Amino acid sequence: MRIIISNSSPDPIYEQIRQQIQGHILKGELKPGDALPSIRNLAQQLQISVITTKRAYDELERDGFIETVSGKGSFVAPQNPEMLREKRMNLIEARLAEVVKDGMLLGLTLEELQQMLELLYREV
Amino acid sequence: MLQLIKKELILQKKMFIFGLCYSIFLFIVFADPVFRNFTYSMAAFGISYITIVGIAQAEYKNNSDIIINSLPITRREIVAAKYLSIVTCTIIALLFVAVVGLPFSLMPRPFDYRLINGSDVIITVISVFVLASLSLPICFKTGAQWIRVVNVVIFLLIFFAPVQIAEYMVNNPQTPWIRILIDMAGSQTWQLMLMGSVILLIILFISYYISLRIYINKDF
Amino acid sequence: MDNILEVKDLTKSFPDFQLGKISLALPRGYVMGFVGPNGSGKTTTIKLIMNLLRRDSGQISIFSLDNRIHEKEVKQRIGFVYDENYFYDTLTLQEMKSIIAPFYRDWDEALFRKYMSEFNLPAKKKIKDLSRGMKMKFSLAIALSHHAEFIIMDEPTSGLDPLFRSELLDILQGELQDEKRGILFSSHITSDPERIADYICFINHGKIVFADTRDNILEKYLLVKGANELLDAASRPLFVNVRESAFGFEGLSDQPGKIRSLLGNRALYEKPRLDDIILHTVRRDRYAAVN
Repeated sequence: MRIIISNSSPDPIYEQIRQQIQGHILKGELKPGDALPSIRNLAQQLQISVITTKRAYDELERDGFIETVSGKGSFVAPQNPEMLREKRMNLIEARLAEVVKDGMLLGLTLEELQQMLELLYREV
Repeated sequence: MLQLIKKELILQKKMFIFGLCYSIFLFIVFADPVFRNFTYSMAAFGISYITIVGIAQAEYKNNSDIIINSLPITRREIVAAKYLSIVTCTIIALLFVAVVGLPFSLMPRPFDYRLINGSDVIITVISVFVLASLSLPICFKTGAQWIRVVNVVIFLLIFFAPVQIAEYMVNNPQTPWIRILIDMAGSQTWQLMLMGSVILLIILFISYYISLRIYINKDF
Repeated sequence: MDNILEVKDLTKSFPDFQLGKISLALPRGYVMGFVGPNGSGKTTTIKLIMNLLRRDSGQISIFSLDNRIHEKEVKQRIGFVYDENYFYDTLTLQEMKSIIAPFYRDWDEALFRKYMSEFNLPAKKKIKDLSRGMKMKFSLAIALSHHAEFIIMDEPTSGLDPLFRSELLDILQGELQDEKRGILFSSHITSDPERIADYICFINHGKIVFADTRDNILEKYLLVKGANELLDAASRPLFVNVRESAFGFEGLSDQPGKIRSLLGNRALYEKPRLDDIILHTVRRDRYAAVN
């Protein structure tokens, strides 16, 4: 599992960790049942505070991505396939919303945007 | 607290080598019959003095109070251990001079020493304990920087005061308290020893109590 | 989550310095970095916690025990490392250890030997012949060899080269894998606590200026740089302190949202380091004291 912290990113460190672990789970790189490093181990490896890693894990747990078993550690939660799909759809939606915003700033019409989307879709 | 005694012994170990040489030196220098009676006690006293002062200086220089007081030990135990170490120091010093005196006793004149005897032990014990009782509270209060000065003063007092007192006594035999003292001097030795021991113990206890007061309230 | 250390309203007066009132708490399993300029009261506070200095007022409890009443019991479980070498420097490491080890109930000789070899410390060498870094490592080896629950350190990294400082911090973080432990260490080199501390307590002139989780502190502030013209009646109040030069200003703001929306992309924004926060805070206090 790859986690890289950027000091120049506007996001706080716990947020970066949360996003990256979430990304790994959504992409299937981390599978349900996989064990995550302990919060202390992760803190030591990344040379950051334990409170930071704990916060990242707490938020991941709140969002249903991981489960913590006391005494054993944290594990990737079983991902409901529909939920997973829905989460990934939400991500795509968010990115599309940004694209739409940027397009509108530039003055593009809906048709122009749709054309762009069609072209790209066929290329891939 | 035993650990503290152990600490003292480890530190004393270094000093004793020096003390040993010093006593051998004394034996040689003071072979003259006039001094001979006091050689054992002087040597033992010297070893103890050098050891005690040496350790006090080392502790002061290193600020080792800080480490010792950070260990799981109470200040009371630290002071008690210091006083007990005086006892062990004296015993070891006496053993040393007794052992050193053995080869000397077998040598031809002018080095033929008698073996160590009871009065040497008593003189040593009294002089070391009195010195310790006077200088330890000062040591606890101000640290060893003054101990040299104070000890020299006390040293001189111990050497010269009895002479002065003796002179005074000889010149004024009439005054009542001197009569009492003279009477006492003539009385049974065991009574004398008993009283002497009691006085010594009282001095030691007062000194211990004062040291305790000082050390418990000290800031490092 | 209980607190390994709790200090309440601690005060201590000296002829030329006043400490207090100090209150802080360190929960089990975490590291607290105690930062502040030289002479701010860090060492004094640590000495008060270890009862080397007698407090004038306030309470100090370690493992929920008063540090005076249960002094011996408490100190059994504390490992300490000080910045000066207070060992008997004519003794060897072996001898020094043989003096200290018997005091601790839970002394672990095997663990000590492991640290000695890990740190490359020669047991037979005299303490006075060791470099500063090695003396520090020795202190640490001793402090870690009796299963202490609380490790208290006064400027452990000062005078050490950056490589060794980093190693030391790694060792400390490794020790913290045990959640029952807590570490308090003071430093005027803020990058050290910044790296591993969970909580940061900043002390200046004998008073605590702020104490919070490291993340909260760092996220609360924003470093703003821009042209001097941007400073006006609307923007100045949003800054803790501003440093102006002929070419522009650098300011620390404790209202990042507002300052961003006010100045937009006319200014440059950066995440502040702990150093920046402390510097600006100290300057603000100094300015306030003078005026």
